[in-house]
Amino acid sequence: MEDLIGTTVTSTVAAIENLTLPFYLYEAEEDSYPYAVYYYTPEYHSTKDGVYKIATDLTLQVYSQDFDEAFSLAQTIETALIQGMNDTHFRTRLSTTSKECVEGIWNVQFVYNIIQI
Amino acid sequence: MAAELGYNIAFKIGGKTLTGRTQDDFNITPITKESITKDDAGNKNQQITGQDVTFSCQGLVVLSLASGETNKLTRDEIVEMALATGPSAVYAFTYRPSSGKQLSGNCVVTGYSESSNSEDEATYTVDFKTSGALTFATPNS
Repeated sequence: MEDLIGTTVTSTVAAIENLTLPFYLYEAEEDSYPYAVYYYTPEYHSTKDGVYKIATDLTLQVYSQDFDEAFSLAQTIETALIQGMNDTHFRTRLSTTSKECVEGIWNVQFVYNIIQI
Repeated sequence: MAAELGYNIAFKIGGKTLTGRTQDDFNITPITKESITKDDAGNKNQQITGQDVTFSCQGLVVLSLASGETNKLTRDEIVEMALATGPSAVYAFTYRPSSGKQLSGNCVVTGYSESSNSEDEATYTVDFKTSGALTFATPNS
């Protein structure tokens, strides 16, 4: 079984209509707001016959100079991920949320528990 | 030293592995007979008269197999084995690492249990006890 979590999250977010949000792995590659980053560490679960599921807590952070914008973008992504990644191959649910503001930049963080089966 | 990895060790019933298998436990328990005479000065003697050989297999509950997976027993087949009675409840088994000697003979199911919670995959545990003579030898193929 190949880890498809990252590519599926990326393609799901890219497919959101009217969303032009720069979306990066680990850290932003350009210094403009808003943008989003995601990161995760896959955990492989095996039977004696091979890997049968990959589980992870995927962290997705939206950065913006405006809280409402950051939170709205995070919710838009949440809706897409919950709808798009709950099927025969993935189980996805929102695990935790948090918000913080550092030097005027809002960081809205949603952590998803994702299982690829 | 080349330690054997666990996934290389296979317990098979009728040439088929149990589906979703995550762990196999193999146990040999000698049956001892104790004796003591006055001449033993209080020191007991032990004699091995036989062995109880048991297996305990754990795995994920799998109800259907992918196409081509004809060499595995599903959960339903395992439960049917556990519910069998009489001569049809005795099954030929083999137990072998990737190389070396293979233990083979007949066994019966002495217990089956399933565990399911709200978060994880359902799992089963099935226990076997050997019946009759066992063979411990290098297989021909």
